[in-house]
Amino acid sequence: MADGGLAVESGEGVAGGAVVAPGLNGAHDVGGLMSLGAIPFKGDEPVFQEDWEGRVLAMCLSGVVSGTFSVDAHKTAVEGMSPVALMNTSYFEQWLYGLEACLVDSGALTRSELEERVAAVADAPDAGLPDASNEELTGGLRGLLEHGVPPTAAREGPRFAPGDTVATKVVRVEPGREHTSIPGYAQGRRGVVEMVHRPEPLGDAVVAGLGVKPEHLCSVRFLARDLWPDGGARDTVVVDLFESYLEPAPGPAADGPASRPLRAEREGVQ
Amino acid sequence: MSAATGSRRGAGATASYPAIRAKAVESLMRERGLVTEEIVDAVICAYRDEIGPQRGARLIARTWVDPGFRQRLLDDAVAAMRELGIQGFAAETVVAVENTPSRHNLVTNTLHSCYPWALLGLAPRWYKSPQYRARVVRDPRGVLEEFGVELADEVEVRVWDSTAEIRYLVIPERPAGSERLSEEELAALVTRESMIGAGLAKQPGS
Repeated sequence: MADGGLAVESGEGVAGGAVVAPGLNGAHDVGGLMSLGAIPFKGDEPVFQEDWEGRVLAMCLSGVVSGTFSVDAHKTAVEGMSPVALMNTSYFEQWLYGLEACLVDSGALTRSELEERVAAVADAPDAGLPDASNEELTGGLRGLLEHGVPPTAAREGPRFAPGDTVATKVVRVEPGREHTSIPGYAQGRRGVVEMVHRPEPLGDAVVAGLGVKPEHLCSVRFLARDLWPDGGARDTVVVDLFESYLEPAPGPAADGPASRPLRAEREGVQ
Repeated sequence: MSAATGSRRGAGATASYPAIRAKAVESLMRERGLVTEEIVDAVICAYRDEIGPQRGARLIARTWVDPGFRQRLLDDAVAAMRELGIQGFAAETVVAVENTPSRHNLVTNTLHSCYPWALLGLAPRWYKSPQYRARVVRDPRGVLEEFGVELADEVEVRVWDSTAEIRYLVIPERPAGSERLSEEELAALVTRESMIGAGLAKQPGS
């Protein structure tokens, strides 16, 4: 089923309206918020500011390769941080939070085991780490770094094609759908399919415990002026959306000269 | 001893709170066979020492000198990357988008901060910041001005919000006056910012 087994509302009736907004589905859903302050700039900075950051990255990748938790589960865990924490913690602090939550949720550790160990390490921070080897896991991790994640097989052909006009649905995070990857600013809008990609597992379904539901990702192009009251007249935003976030919307394309397909532009068609 | 970090110890004498928690998690994961010293070494060495924006810069320089390669990169970026031996985690699905006199591309992920690690290394702090992610989809021209890039009104700014597994690589325009440079010299003009779209390639001699 195209919706991946999850309840969705149709986007009909809210297209172009003010019902949806940034932050709809959590404090991580920041696209369009203008109140967060200046972008932090740094010159050259080390890849890892502190040693533990690289170790946390390694543990997160290892957690995924070992099958303990999925990438989508980890993202969902980070999304579950409090808004204040999300704004005030560093990227790798967030990854550490997500790692802990995923290890506990999966049953690999209990919360009390973890807190006992934190207390023990705090008492003896220079003590050594236990020896550990696991050739199969190490090999799996090297394979992931080298070759990436293997492709997901399609179950069905793509529902949409480049050039199709689509309407985006209203998709709310709620019990039964703890995660979604359609930003608030892109919901209830009309756009044009720019590209259709190979399938990926719908993250919403993975996190809801429904397993792998492959859907073709669609890059959907919106006019900036359709998204924002102060959107640039010639500007566009392209968002990568799963098929179950979209409905066909036949009718006049929400498009102007700024949104000619890339191929026409390359071939010099005016 | 670990080659990556010079120590099996982790946290250290004046450990920060995250360092202590990370060490606690690591010790438990090691006991349960969920992480190993070799894995930690492999990941740290890969992203600290081996993988970085120089990979993407090689691709861009090749597109500037070889129109056939440019077209192949635009048509199937992953296959073109493989021609230069570039592949790996977080670059399984890559789309190259070219800057032209009429269109400037800029990349983000408003929900998280997905980034083409195998092409460009780990993302810079500003890219991951909620401030960049929030503003760039709504005020890309304002963001570009902060990066020192000013665009004419007639140019379309296209922001790519890579909310899923697709990673975007911006092909910056080749700078004027670079006609006599070798491919290696051209690659040195390609900054990380320019491959995200937050900057332009450097001028020769700058």
